[in-house]
Amino acid sequence: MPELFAYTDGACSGNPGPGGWGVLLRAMDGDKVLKERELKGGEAETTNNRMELLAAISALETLERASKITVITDSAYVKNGVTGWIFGWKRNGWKTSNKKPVKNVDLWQRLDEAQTRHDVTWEWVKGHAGHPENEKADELARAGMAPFKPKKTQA
Amino acid sequence: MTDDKTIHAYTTHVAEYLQVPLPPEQIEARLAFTEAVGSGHILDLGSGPGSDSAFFMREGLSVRALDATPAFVNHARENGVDAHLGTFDDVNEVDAYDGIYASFSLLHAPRTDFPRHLAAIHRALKPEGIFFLGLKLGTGEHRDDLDRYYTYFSQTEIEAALEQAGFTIDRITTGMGTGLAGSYDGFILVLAHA
Repeated sequence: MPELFAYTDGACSGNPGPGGWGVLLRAMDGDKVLKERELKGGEAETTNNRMELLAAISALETLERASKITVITDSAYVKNGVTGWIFGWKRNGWKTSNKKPVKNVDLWQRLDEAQTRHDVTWEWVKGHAGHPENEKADELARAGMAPFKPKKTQA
Repeated sequence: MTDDKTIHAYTTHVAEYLQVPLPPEQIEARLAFTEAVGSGHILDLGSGPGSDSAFFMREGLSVRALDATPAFVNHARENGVDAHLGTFDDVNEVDAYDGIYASFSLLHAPRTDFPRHLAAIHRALKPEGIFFLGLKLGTGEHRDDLDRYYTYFSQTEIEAALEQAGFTIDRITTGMGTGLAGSYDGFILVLAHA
C-alpha cells in the first residue's frame, strides 16, 4: 500500500507583496518513489502565511479520493493552527479567544474543509535545514512567485 | 479557423464528456474567477456542454456562452444557457464583459492565432475585467486519441502573450508530474485582469 506525503512551502517577497506556494506530492512504497506530482502557484499581492496555508490547501484539494496522507510543512503557523488553534476558533464561531476575527479565515475554513475529506497527519520540519523535499517545496514556491516579482529593468 | 476533427470528436462524445469530473484545481479556479468577477455579465468562451455556464448562473452571474461544436451548444441551450455557435473569431464585442472564462478552450486554436484571440478578449472586456485562462503546459502541437487538436504552451510564453495583449496577471497555478505510466501534461490556470 503506497504512502502519501505532501511537502508544502510558501514564499513571499515583502509582507504583503508578491508570493508563491509549492507542493511536492509523493506516493512512496518504502524508500521507493512511485509517483510524484508538483504543484505551484503565485499571487501578485499576498502574505507569507497565506501562501503557507494555500500550499497545504492545494496539496489536500488536489487529491481526488479520500486519502491517508502526511503533510510536512515548515510553517509553525499552519502546523499549530491546524492541530490546535482551529478547534477553539470553530467553537467560537471563527473568533479568537479575544473575540477578534481570525486572520485568513477564508483559507483556514478551506483547509478545515479540505482535511475533513482525508486522514491527515501533520508534521513540522525546520525550513532551510537541509531536508531535500522541503528544499524542493521551497524551490517550487519561489518559482510560483517568480512571475509576480517586479521585473528587472533590461540593460 | 476551426478544426473539424476536434469538433467531430466532441460531437460524438457529448455524453462521455459530461461524465468526466472536473479536476479539483479547476473547481477552485472556477470559484476564484466567480469571486473576482463578483457580479455582472460574463462570456464562457469555449463553453463545451455548458456545465461551467450553469455554475456561473447559479452564482448569480449573467452568462453568454460560445462554442464551435453544435452538439455542445444544443445541449447547453436545452439546459437554459444562453449559448451560441461561434468560434474565437466571433469575439468582436467591445467593453462588453465583466469577465471572460476560457477554460482549456484556446488550446484548440493554432499557436499563431493565440495573440490575436487574446487581443480580442482584452477588447471585449470592460476596463479591469477579469480573464480566466486554462491551458496545457508543454511544447508543440498534438492530436490526442480522439483526434482532438491541442496546442501546448510554456508558462513564459503564456505570461509574455498575456502581457503583450495588455493583461495584468493576478494569480497563476500550475501542476505537473510523473506517474507510473510515464509523463503526462502539466496544466496552468491563470487569473488576470484587463
